[in-house]
Amino acid sequence: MKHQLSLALFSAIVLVAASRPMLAAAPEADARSKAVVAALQAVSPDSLGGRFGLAVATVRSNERAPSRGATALQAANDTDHRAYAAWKRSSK
Amino acid sequence: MLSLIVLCLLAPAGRAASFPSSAQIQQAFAAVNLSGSQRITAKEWDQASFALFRAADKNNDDFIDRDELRDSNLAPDTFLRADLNRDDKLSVAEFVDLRRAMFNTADIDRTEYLTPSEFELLILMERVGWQDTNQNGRIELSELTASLIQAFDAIDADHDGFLTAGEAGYMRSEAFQLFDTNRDGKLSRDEFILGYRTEMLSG
Repeated sequence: MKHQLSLALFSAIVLVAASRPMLAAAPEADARSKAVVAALQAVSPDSLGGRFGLAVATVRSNERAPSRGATALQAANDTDHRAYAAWKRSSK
Repeated sequence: MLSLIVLCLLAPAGRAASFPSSAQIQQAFAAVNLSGSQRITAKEWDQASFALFRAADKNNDDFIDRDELRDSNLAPDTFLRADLNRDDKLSVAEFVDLRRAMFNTADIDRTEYLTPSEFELLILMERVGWQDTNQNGRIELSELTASLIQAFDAIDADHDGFLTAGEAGYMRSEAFQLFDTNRDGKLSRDEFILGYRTEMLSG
């Protein structure tokens, strides 16, 4: 009986210890993402790259239509949406 | 009324591009470069792009719409070009797609990561622009030189043809010292251009 109680207590301690980093990970990830946004916007207020981004977007929009098919585009979009959804879940 | 019109016409030309400090640029680099490797990888860049997208997507519907655009610092012209399916809003895929293209263009030496020097140039070119004369989406050395000449003129506040450490406050101090080959404590246009070009060629 005493042995079972010790085992149960030990398991509970292990469970609590293991869950603490997991519980702490999400707020940490959220704080980190806010820090990234603040640091980047301090040097680069326009997340689309200011005048540099405009030049890149102009080249991109000119080359995009003929070079990639609709199916390939949709597949790339789906992949990005899934990656973003996973990132959001991990940083909530 | 006339004076107001004159003021409006003069304001954009007279306004100098403001540059962040070297410390701010290094802090931003470190925030994105989670591994601390002094190299921003494509994956780290994507993670930062997700964070920026979420910050702009106030209603959390996974799109940046016109209202959110108005409340942000995003450039409307770039927004229009990034909106590939012309639905008047940016999906995360469209946003990340443009950000990846920026990463690939800013990766001048084509190593698939951004060095502190490439990141510094990216921040510089966000203010002074870049002309993709051959329309290949990459920064060739001749295009880099053209951008650096523009940048030099924008940074040289007193227009004396030299950059002091104060004027080049956005630059890493070790780079300033390295570029200053004649050790006179200031950078000529040639030193400025040659310094960056040498850094890009040496990776």
